[in-house]
Amino acid sequence: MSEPILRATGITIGFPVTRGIVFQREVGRVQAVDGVDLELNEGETLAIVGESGCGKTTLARGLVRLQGIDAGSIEFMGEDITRRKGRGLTDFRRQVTMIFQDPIASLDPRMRIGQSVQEPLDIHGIGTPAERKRKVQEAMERVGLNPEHYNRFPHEFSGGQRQRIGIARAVVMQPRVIVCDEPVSALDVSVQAQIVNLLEDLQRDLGLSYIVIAHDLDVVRRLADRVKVMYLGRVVEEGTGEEVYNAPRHPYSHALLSARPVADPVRARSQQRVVLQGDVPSPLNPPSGCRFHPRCPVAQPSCAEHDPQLEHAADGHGWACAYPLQP
Amino acid sequence: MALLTVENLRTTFRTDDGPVGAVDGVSLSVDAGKVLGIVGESGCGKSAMSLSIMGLLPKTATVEGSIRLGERELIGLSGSELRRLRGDDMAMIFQDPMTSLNPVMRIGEQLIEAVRLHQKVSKVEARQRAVAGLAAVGIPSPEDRMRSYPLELSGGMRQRVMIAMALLNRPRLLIADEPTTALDVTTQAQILELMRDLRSEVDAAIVLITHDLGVVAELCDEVAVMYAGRIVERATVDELFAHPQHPYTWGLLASLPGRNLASERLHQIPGTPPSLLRPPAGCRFAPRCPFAMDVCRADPAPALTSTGRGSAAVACHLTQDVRDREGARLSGEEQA
Repeated sequence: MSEPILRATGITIGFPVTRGIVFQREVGRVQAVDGVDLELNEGETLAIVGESGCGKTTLARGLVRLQGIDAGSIEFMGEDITRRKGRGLTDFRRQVTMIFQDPIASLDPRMRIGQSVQEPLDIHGIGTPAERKRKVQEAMERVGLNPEHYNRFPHEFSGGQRQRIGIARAVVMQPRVIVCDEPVSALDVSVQAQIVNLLEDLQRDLGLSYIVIAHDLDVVRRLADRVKVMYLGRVVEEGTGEEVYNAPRHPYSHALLSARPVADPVRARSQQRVVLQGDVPSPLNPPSGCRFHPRCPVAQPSCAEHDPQLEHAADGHGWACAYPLQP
Repeated sequence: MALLTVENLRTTFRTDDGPVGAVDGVSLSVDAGKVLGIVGESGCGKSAMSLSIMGLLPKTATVEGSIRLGERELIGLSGSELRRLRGDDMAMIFQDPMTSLNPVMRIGEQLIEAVRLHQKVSKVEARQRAVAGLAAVGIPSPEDRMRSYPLELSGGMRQRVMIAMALLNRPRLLIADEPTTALDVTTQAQILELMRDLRSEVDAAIVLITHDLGVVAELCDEVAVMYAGRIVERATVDELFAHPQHPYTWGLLASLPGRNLASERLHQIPGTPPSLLRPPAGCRFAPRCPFAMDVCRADPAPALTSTGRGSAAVACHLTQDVRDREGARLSGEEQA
């Protein structure tokens, strides 16, 4: 097997907790991401799922160096880029780009969309002005936008088209990896399908690798080759989409999957559902032992003491649970 | 007997570019103890319709037609008459609880106020009802939570508080506008379970506005599918999923990633919903409809017509045979 295109080891990201308004002092650190390992292979889609506050977005931001990391290392195409600065970092960012959930928030309302798509090329000083313009038109065409709309403003577009603009901005750099943070969750169902198909087409045509952060488990099932389930900053289960969806071993993954509403009234009535009680605990003060034990439907007394580590079966399917579910 | 009856509702907004017919001739009814789901994409008029029923539209909107709660006609009521009804006979739950909770007031005060606005009871009595209301929606240690501010609660807890507040005065009509959209899937499951339990207890007519067909399948008895200000299909929930009749409904069902794992490519409805400023001349779905015929582009869609199966009705130019065949093909594909 070839070298993964992106590899992260032991990523830990914390945020300071401060007290005082005038004289702020650090009184603790919240561990938003706590020792996560990750490998992304060329041309594959890796999804990270979990509830809000599980650290998935922070991890994604850390991977593209939009967020400082406290510990761990990131390798891109075999090179350590954890501490790269200046030119080296710019080079990395040309090849690893990002798509955000809310395309409105990432587009300047006063900038024509052609300029918005071109902006990354300008920043990185790629090509002559004529070449840039050509690249922008290619990118717009590729994502299904009419290049004649170059001079329009973002408000003239619908939500789905704005997300296409966001995608055009990401692909215009001809990146190797795109990190997609909730790429379709702000969109209507029929438009969602358009964007999901577009992401699949781009991957096939351009050989892209994706990291997809999403809470919509059905969209993830569609897009992802491999899935990581996160809970309170840690990966609790990982495997192929098949393994995690059809035979989850961690009780949290199982609960998460069974919570999905089923678009079929007959099955919805007969389905046995695990409804988790309570909310995700505060990462400021995580539970002892297994972090999931206070909400776990099958927790044993020992779960409050022993913190299970991620262990892998021969096929690569991994879970962090002392009493895993039987497949 | 229908608790809510809406007849030929037209809600029009005045804008600088001209009138926008957000709701264009919608008729529907809901019985007590039943849940009617209104499904559609953003801009289809589902929220404008629910705000019309609640009398919560801005002054730029005009509402025509008839909205009856029991025997009482709501259109034409004065502001103060509507205020008396809201929170008492009819209540609404919104997508974002923070839009309806006061951030600088403790939860207890807000609940007590909601009781005392509508009922002549002592403060102690109102307080007891508020605590009982919080307990009924599954909030742990409700006495303590009465002293919390909304921001001290998680999203799911806030949504529970809002449901508790909506149910305090035992409304006969409850409108829930995307009640679980902003929530995590695990919290969504909790709230859906809560609403299922409450539905049998409160015996209110519930209108559930959503874009999520999964939520519809979980909770609703009947469904109306809305497109560009009109109802295009109406049926019981089982009928809608077993024999979908309108091409738009087919598109929605086929584009669900969870239902269509086997398909090579996810079905997509081409294009985007039309502008209601200048809706298409014929059937409003015709420009995006793969089955559109000449008549669809020329003549407006026919009125909702019975499909011959129970209460199901559809507004489409296609013949019954074609609709049955295509609908069956869609359900068949999913089972395969």
